[in-house]
Amino acid sequence: MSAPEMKTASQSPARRLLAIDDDPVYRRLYAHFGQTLFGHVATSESVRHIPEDVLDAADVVILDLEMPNTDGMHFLTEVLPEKIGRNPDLQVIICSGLDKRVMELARRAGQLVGVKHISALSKPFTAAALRNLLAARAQSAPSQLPSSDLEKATIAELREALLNGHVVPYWQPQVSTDDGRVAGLEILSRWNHPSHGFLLPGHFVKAMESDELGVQFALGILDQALKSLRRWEKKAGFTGRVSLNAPPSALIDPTFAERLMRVLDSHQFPEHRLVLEVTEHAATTNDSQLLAGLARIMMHHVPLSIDDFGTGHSSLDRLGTEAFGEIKIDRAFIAVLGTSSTTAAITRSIIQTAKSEGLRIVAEGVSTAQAVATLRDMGCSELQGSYFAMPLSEDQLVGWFGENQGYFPEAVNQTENNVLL
Amino acid sequence: MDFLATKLCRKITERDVAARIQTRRGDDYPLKSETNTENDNEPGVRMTGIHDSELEIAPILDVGQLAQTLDSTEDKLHVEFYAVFLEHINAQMEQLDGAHDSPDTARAIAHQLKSSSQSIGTPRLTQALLAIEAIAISEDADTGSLRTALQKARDVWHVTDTVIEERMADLTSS
Repeated sequence: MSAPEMKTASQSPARRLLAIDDDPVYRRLYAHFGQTLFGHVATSESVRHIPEDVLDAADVVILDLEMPNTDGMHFLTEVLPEKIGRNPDLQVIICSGLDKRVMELARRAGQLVGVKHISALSKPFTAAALRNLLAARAQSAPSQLPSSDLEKATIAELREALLNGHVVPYWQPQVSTDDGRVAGLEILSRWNHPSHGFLLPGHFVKAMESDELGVQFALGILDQALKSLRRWEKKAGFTGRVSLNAPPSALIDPTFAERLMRVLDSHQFPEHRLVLEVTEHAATTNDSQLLAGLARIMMHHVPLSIDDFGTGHSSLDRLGTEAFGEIKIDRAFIAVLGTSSTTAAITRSIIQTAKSEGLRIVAEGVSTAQAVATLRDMGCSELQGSYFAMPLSEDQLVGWFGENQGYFPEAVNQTENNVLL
Repeated sequence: MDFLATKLCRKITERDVAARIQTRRGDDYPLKSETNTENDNEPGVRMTGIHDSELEIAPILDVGQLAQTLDSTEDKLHVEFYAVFLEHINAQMEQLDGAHDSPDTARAIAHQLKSSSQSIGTPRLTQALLAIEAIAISEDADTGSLRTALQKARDVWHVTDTVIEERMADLTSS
């Protein structure tokens, strides 16, 4: 057995992919596609002999279940759960030529032992399917820090970083299928850590959404984002919406809505240009405090969006009666759109139902031209993902607008908009 | 592409008159007669689920498949993947040869090779591997039929190996 080969690319140095497959053709395939999306790619022909530091450093693991003299299921259900304790955001992709029912059982077994982010891809697969999945995982995988450093990312540290301007807004465009232009920008955050460089929210999400810091963080990042927006919106010609993630800890705070309005007023930013994204769980809760918080926000005419739609327990037939004007289809659906007819049917059904209720539908994790075409033809309203742009800093965003004028003709739904016909 | 296809066709048919090759011009774009005169007089090998005729007419190399798998037509990249595939299969075929009295081992190796064979674009080899899998899991499998299927796969592999080598030479020189 050989030790894992390490391949390094410069695009995203913090994210690490580990691919375990006994077939060298597939190992080379994973390296080929992985190196454009991950900073580091390690491959191994077996689950044995993987150095502990390589395993510990991985953000995403591709695992073949059936390998000679080795048990992929044992690795999935016994070895990985230990690692999950150190990196709860670890993501696993099962890639196998086994029967899909076996893969589904393995996926469920993995979830039962604590692997939260687990998906399956059948061999042989198309380039688009693999790239989609890796792109979605690369985008959502947090950069890896040693566990000792992770433990230090406390609420106090994050508060200090926020006050010192070390947490900065990043932006990801949402492109309209009506006219191919940027209709919205989601505000994301990065922690410019003095020792570790730019950290993804996976490192500080618990502190960021904590009861102590939830409101302060959400309003702080919004304040910075609106300052940034004023610097470049005219130059970029952007007049669309901005979306902000609102954690439940902020929503239940009775002062949040008032304080939110004060931030908007201080920047003379109209409330209808802001969209508050709440998780599907929060959107479907029966918690009276949460519902009251949502009602307060609606009383101020700030539009609401359901984030990660499809991951929770929303009922499609309730969409029209809910308080939301937008749903964002979770990236897990989009990643397998080209390979799973069931997922494609579900996605189409979500889009059709939401449209019939007058909701705007945003697809997240759109990373290929094929996904753009499919979602556009299904009638999805807006598309967000690495096909158009990864999350961008202010400077990167201004450059991006300069390069493409915020216009993507391939996103335009010709069937609905070509009135000349 | 036409020039490459014609050149490749000439080289293939020097070795295998039944060879067909798929190109991006369309499915199963025929470059040569479907008649396999070499094997006309051979008794058919009965393989569960796979008929001889299916095996014979399957293209040896589908050059468009690798381009699709990689989403790239870069010659250098194709050569690299063909080389990895050849090395892998050569090693595995030896193990497969030795598995004539172990259907489980034969099935496992054939199953694994089948995936990469599909991804690289060697349909005839994929069919031969499918036949091994089918025989290995059938209730009435016997050593004789498995041995025959393994031999068939070995024959197909020899032709496939040659065609891929030629393809690599073409890509390297072009």
